[in-house]
Amino acid sequence: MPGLFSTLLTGLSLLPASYEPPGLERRGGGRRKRRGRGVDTEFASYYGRPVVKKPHWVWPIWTYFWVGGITGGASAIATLAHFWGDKEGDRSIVQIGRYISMAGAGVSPVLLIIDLQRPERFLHMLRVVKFRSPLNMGTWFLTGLGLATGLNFARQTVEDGFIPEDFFLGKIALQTSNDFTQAFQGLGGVSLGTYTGVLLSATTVPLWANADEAIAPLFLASAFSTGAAAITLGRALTGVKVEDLHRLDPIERAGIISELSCVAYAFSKLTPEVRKHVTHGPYANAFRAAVGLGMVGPLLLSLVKPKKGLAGRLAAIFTSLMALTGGFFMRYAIIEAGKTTSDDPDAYHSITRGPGRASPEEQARRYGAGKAKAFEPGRSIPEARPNSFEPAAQAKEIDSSSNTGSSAE
Amino acid sequence: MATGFFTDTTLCIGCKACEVACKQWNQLPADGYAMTGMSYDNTGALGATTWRHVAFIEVPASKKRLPMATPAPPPAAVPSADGGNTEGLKILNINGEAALQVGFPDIGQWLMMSDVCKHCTNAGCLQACPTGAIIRNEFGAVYVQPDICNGCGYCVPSCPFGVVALQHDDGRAFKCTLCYDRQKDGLEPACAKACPTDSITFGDLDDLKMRARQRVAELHARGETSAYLYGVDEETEVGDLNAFFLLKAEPEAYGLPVAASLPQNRVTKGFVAGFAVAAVLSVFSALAFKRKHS
Repeated sequence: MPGLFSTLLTGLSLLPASYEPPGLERRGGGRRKRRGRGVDTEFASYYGRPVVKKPHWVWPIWTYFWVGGITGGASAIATLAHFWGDKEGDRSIVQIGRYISMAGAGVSPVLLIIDLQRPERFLHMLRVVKFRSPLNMGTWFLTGLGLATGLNFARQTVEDGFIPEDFFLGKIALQTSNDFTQAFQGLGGVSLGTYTGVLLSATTVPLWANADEAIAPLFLASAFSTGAAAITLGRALTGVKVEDLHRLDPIERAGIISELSCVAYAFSKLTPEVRKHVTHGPYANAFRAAVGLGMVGPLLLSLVKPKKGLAGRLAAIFTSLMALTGGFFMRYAIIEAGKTTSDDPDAYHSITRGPGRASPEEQARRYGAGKAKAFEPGRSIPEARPNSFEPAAQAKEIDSSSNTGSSAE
Repeated sequence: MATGFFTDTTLCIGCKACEVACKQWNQLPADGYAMTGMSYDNTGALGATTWRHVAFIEVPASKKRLPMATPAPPPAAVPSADGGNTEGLKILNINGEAALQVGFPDIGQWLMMSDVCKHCTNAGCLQACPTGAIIRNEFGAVYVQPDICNGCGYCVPSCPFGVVALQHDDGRAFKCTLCYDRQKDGLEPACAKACPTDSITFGDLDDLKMRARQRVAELHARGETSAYLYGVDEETEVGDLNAFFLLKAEPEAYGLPVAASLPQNRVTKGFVAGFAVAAVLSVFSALAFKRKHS
């Protein structure tokens, strides 16, 4: 990728790039003079006004994407630890993972319902299954994950002695959860971590649409790193041996490296009109916080931090908090910067302009003066503006006239 | 039978009768008296309570401003009445001979376009709607069922044309219904009914498309070679538009995307990419857990 290095440098603000906020005063852009089609208006946009509308999403969605990511990551990691981890040493990973998932799976629907403008109708989300609608799929993922997480959480409370095993609730909890529900929770977690990214890329928001295949992996990788950070934080605060605290570091590092790769790939893909909103827009600092606190910082710290004693415990807590904060900034920056690109017609046009429209020459060939005969009606054309319109009757009339060519009295 | 609009922008005079008729018929509230300060367009954009929006694009004159009067050429040289009038206005004397020819030099021009929901063949809003509130009705129009919509707002950023919007005090999403109620009663939509120049025509889509192609051919024959159809006979991801346009300038000038992409075409790609990374990270994590405690 030739431009990758320079785009990375631009991303880190080491190279200058101009940023102009979108606004009416920039009357139609006017910088790009396009000729060749139609009236030479010199307008690259309609008075600089937005072409597409931006989503209304604010804090419930920032928070939900963050919490959902942590929930998904914690679920996945708890499941992996359950099946492949050390039965004794990694017990607390499963335990804390299940508790975190339960909290997240409880908070997430609340945040989503708060965000609805008609919250009393939230159940309408579950009246259809639409594979082409990430939001609908996400609702089902969250429902499934919530169910599995609830069952595994109940088992955990029994295993931890909060509910006696011989009490009827305890019996139910042990009978309704098994390896299958744990696997289901893991799959649900991965789906939850992924779909939020797909939800964004399947929109017309230039930043999200332009970085389409990068956003879902980025969110998923962030789910792993923030999920691992949350579990580590929980273990550090609940008195797990400090030597065991760094068990999830490889996972967190792998997640962060995946995130950085996605960010680099996305940057190489963004058009300059979109990229300037990331590097020099009002949310540039939020992006820096996302990369610095959520990715580069924890990655470097995990290589040099102390692993023993009180310092080791504090380092684990600090690194985890850093990664979690960065994860939040990542969601915040992507959503808010996405909204600024929605407001910028240049950014939207930069991703939609391309092959697809017939050129003026092609149009002329199709509709030009010499071709007028090609459009001789094969059937009668109704009056230009019918005073009344009766669908069935009109359809019949057209059919009979075109089939027989004679007037049906 | 699929019905739709053909909006011929060369006929639009910017009277905004369509906007008014739409508001009246659909009982949409006013949007206030905000001025955009940019042109005669104070409506600004389509929205939850604005289902028709007339765009005004002022194309400034490049050189001269005033019409220029020149002596008429000899009668033989004056083009016949049916040959198309590209020379300007002829002033005839009492005997019917051309006395004065008034040319139309470049005095600038207005491009006006009555924008509306396009009712796409592959509609982003319809595919995005998680509740199934947005459906395609029996007239081929994309319709938001107000009794189902729960105001999630996901259709808003899923529309490639920025049409549908949430109504802030109601919470639900609204847009042009292609006058579903009027069509049910065999009436054409209010905007098409009100349009005084037939810039907006309503009817069966096949007929409209045929008429539109004829109109383009006619305009090209007259020398208006910049006319082209937007929304039909194109290979875009959203497919043919049930409300399509005859335009004279590039689509960006009207605030339209050049080649609208369907957001949902990115869904599969996103899930595949996400799950691929998930698989890699899971295998890596499983291997990491397999390792003995240090």
